Amino acid sequence: MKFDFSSVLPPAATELAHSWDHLYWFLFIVCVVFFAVVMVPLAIFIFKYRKKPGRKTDPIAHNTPLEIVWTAIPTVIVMIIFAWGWLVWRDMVDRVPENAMEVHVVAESWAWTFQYSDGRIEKNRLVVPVDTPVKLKMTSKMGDVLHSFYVPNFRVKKDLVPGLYTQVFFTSTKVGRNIFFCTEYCGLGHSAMWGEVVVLSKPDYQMWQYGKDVPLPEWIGVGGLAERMKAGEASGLKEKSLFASVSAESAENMKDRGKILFRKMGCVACHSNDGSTSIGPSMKNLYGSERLLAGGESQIADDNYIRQSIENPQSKLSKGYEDKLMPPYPGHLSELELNALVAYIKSLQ
Amino acid sequence: MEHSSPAGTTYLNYPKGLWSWVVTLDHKRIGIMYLFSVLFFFFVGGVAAILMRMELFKPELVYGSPGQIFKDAGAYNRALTYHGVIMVFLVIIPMIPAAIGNFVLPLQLGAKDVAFPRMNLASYYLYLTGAVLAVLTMFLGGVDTGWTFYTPYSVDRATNATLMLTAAFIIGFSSIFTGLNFIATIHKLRAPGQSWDRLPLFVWSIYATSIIQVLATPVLGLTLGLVAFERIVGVGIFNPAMGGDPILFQHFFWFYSHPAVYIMILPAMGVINDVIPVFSRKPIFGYKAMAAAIFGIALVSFVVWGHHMFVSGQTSLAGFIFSLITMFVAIPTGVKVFSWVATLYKGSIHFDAPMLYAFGFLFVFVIGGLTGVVLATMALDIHLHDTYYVVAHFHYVMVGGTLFAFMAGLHYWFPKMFGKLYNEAAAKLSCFLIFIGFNLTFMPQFIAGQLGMPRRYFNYKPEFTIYNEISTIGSFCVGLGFFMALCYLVYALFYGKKANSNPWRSLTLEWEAASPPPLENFRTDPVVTHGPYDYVGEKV
Repeated sequence: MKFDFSSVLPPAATELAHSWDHLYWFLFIVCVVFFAVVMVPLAIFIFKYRKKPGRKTDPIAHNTPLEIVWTAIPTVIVMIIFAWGWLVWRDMVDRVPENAMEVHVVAESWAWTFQYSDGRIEKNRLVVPVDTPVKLKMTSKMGDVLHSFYVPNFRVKKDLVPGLYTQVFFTSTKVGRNIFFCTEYCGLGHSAMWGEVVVLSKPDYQMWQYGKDVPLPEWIGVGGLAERMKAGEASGLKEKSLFASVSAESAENMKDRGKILFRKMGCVACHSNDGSTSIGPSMKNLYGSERLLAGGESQIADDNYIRQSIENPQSKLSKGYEDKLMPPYPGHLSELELNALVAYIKSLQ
Repeated sequence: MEHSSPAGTTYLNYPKGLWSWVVTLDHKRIGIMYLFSVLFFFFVGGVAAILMRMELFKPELVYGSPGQIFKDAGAYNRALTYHGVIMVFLVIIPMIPAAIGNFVLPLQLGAKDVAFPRMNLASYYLYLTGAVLAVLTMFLGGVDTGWTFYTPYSVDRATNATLMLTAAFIIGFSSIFTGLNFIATIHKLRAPGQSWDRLPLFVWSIYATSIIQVLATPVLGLTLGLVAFERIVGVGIFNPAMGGDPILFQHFFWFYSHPAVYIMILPAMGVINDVIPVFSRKPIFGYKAMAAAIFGIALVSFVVWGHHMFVSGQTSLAGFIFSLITMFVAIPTGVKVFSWVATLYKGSIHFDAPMLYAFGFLFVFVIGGLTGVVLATMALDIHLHDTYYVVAHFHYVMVGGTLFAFMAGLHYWFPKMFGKLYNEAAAKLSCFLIFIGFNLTFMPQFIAGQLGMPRRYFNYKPEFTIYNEISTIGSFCVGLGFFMALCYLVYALFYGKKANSNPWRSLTLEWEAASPPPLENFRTDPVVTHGPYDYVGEKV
């Protein structure tokens, strides 16, 4: 799809992006109206009441009905704006689709690593099928800085924080390539740290998953011009196909890898995976359950809970296990290994 | 403290000598020193901006090609950091309160000086010390964290940040002392007859600003102090590798920095409140509502900081609360804007430079304010956060708002400060250039931002080129306008026509003092017998 310079928003490549656009245009109209409501009288008064010899001024300094109106109407309007903004946010952020395909994202200075559940690893490029909900579990490498994942065509953005999982989701309805940017300042490579979300048709995606090369789809919006300009300059090979990537690390899928790590890292010494009692709590049915912590408060065991329990167990001691000292594991596991462990534990339902 | 300076002298020439300025306790001299310092740093920060805009004229340039100003992204990142730090801490925050407020406030109250003159001088030297330290970092390798110092970058990756953080810490005290001083002055040093309902709205705005300065700035000092502490000692407050929380820094930082932007805009609104009545020969519309709105804005400003953090990893519930409360800031702001326009109704409008800047303020501040509502809308911020849309928004309110109002105030009070009149035609031309240039610079940035161009980008995708080109051309227009202003104002200092005590026929108290005032401000103690805007049934 050609980039249309006459439009002032990126092409909307998801349903929620269209939803966003409707809200945006509502705000735009409100802004234009209020701008006119101020500027038109301003212009009229400047002209009509410009200094003229002999003109007497009228020291009107109050008009209670007017003041009430210009307080009440903006109040109502901003409440509508807030409410609509909240509803679209809820759809874009809180209402995660069921059965969304999960991909882990790890940012570092200055590259992105995408880890698919089948174990496949890709750098700077996220490949997903069209019309499929995709959920990204994102973090920045421990020891690195803040980054932010931003796909303009999807109207999607979230910061990546070391030590924490953040999440975005989207369902793209258009086959094509969508640029993504890092949009939290991170030093020298901040503006070079861009990548692409490649949305393939479902048949093409299947082919790519099973190791076959498929043709690269066209850019949607930003990216296309850059590429055409580069093509004009470089005489080198122009990337025409999406080469299927199989890296040595992806030999097993994430859950299997997590299972190996569960044994290799010694977790199995204190935690069972089948519900049986051991020194520490069992991992079976842990994910999504309500955990009663030593301090008395309770927490739902989500991805962040599991991750923090591994990295800093003292912060998440369960009631009844206060004297069982789990050694912390910060720095022993890479981000990708941590993601695999979490995926394995989640699967023990 | 002299009580009676020799007849025919002004604060400018009595007491005599450079040393008398260095150790002065006179609020007017301190105000002037602030004025010159702020303007100096404004030009330094402006040079950084022009260099940045030159770099951004073309996308993805290779070093050595025409237009490539900076050797690499590191140099660009340092430029953007200094542009931000200098403009925020050394220019826009002190600009109206310290440079204009110091001079005007005691005069408007009918006082001889502020409540604590020594603290006032200390405030200036703290500012200067911090400013020198901040600029010194430039020569030690530079800082590249951005003016927001986000962690972990500012702890782990930044060079020379500790010195810069210390500089900001010191400057914070300058701000706190000024605020304390002004609150005490407003309460205790009003002339007889200067009741609360006869205070110029400039005074009310300075009062509200001072409260924010006193309450919010310590939080910034402590926060930056914690970052410096973490850098030096290695505790893990913000560092996740040691169990710390980088988002906690953002909460602490924005708890100050959001109210800080109201430190920037409230005095600006105060200036506009004083200028519009004078040049339309009418009382301000809705005096009480205007004063209440100032305090409403100040109060609400403390509980909205999370609207800078919608996509940082804070919860949706937090976002909900911050977005809702942020919307409430729009209401008193709207009341003020409508009231300013209503003040013009059936007035007699004069088109002197201060009023032209006030009109310019209305145009650009409304755009800035409305786009603030857009950004406060939770869902919209997802797409717009950290893009050039935000850059455009805050330049519209900070430059369009505060800087335009400062120019209005500077042109309004110039005759009082220096006893001279500037060339009105030159002032009008330069105002026009600045206004046109400003809009050319920042309007395209809204579009670039909503099309997806992130901020703090050294290189950008070619699709964003046209917006950057227009923006760069606009920035040169602005630079030209300010350069012109520098020229005719300096010329006026030396060769301008002499001004009488009240060239604008204003009713506020400072205009009863001579232009420029003598050291003790008023030769006979003033008594206030009317309100600040009692323009009744005027002819022309």
